[in-house]
Amino acid sequence: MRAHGRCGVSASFREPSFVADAVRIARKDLLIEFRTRSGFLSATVFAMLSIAIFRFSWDPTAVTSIDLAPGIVWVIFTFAGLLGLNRSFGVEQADRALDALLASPVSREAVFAGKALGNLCFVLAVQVIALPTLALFFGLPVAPEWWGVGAIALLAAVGFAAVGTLFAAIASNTRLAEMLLPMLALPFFVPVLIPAAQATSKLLAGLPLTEVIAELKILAAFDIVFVAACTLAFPFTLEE
Amino acid sequence: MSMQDATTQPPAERTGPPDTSYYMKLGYIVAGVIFAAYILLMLRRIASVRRGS
Amino acid sequence: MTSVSAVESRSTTARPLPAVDWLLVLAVLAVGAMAVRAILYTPADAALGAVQRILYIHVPSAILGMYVACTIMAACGGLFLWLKDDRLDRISESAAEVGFVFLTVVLATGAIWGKSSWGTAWAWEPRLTSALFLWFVLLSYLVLRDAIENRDTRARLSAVLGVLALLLVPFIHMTVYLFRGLHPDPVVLQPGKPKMPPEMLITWLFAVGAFALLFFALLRLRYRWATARDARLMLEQA
Repeated sequence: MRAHGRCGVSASFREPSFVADAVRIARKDLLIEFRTRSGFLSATVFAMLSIAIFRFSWDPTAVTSIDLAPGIVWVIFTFAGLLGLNRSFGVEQADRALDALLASPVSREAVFAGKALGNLCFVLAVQVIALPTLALFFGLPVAPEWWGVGAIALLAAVGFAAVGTLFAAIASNTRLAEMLLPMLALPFFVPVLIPAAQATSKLLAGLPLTEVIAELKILAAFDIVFVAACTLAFPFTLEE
Repeated sequence: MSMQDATTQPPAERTGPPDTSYYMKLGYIVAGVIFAAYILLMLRRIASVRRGS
Repeated sequence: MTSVSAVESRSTTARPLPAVDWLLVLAVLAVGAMAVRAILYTPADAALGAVQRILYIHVPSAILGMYVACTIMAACGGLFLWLKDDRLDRISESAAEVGFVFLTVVLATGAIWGKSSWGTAWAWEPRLTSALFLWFVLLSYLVLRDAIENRDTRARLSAVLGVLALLLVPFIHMTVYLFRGLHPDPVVLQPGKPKMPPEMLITWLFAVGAFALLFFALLRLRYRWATARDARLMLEQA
């Protein structure tokens, strides 16, 4: 909003580009993540450990791994993703870096888009490591249907990152930040996780992509509605 | 209770709906307790605001 | 001194809490009369038996808790973000809490109904599942409010959550309907298929009216309490 005001005042001022600003912020976050690696490492280790532990908590002769895998993988994505989301605004709280970010001539919507983009990359990176691990540990067949699973994972990750980023911003303002985020965000992940898990399970059972149209529709609609709503709502979560 | 059922709906005797009046009573009591508890909570809150001011 | 008197004038212009809330008394009497009518003077369902009378509590509570409460919470939240009026925030807060109580009743009576009619207290049935998730959303809204000290921040952030919650409701409905349900379809809202006998229909409409009265009486009481509480807080801080 600030940026819109400025660019009206002076034509010589760099035309603020929403996409460029967002990408710059996402790159900054990912760079911090890459240099420290702590968040990404803990999330992937968490995901791989969980996969291994889940495998041992069921009797493999009673429940086949193909029935078990879809549910597990989405539960793990959720919790590994929450680990990353907590950091997303945690890093900005040190030295009140968020204030500096907001004082820069970047619109608040672009800050949100950048943060969400960074979180999206984080979640996708965790998925890229967790999915093969799952296939390895659970002995799932490597087949063309994994492309379908990848598409579902991408759609789900977009909605997850948008909603998760907004709630991370809300939770970072409270006394209970890390405790509160899962409680706020999990009900909102229901329309992402349930269709994604169902679609994954159908695809792994060998059903064609046409069988999961209903789930894909819900995921796509959720992405559109909540990416828009969260982008519009984000400026309200910041100090005036 | 069962007498009331019998008088208001004679055919029900023969077709025999299951006797579920226990669950009905339970439902009404549980709902009543929840609403009553909330009203009591509100009364206590109001009393404490009044006491303080 | 001037600031204190200003606060006092503000707190007295907000209507003082009455000794007896007559609207609430009326509402409680209406709900009681509804229960008497439903249990003693309305025929039981031929197939389900007496337990069907739980629906006179369950369905009106569901309508008020899921749709009315959430709409008020979200609408007042959205208006608050625009107008920044404390009263809107207090209405939102009250609607969320009263809606939470009504949804608790919905879940409890739903479980009792399920135990009697389906044999299990909790069957992951679409409508009951949506009610459960909405119950969690309202709970997290109330916890969020509790976790923020600053009043302006609290109002702003909970308003954002309230608006998003309303957007979430249709998605939860769509998601849970991916599963097949055993819930009886709504009988009343189907024009042209009057399945409900007139005596039951009158009781049912009476129940909706009585519970709506109870809902708004509790909402008003909760709102008045919030006003008195905020006025007192301002007085203490002044």
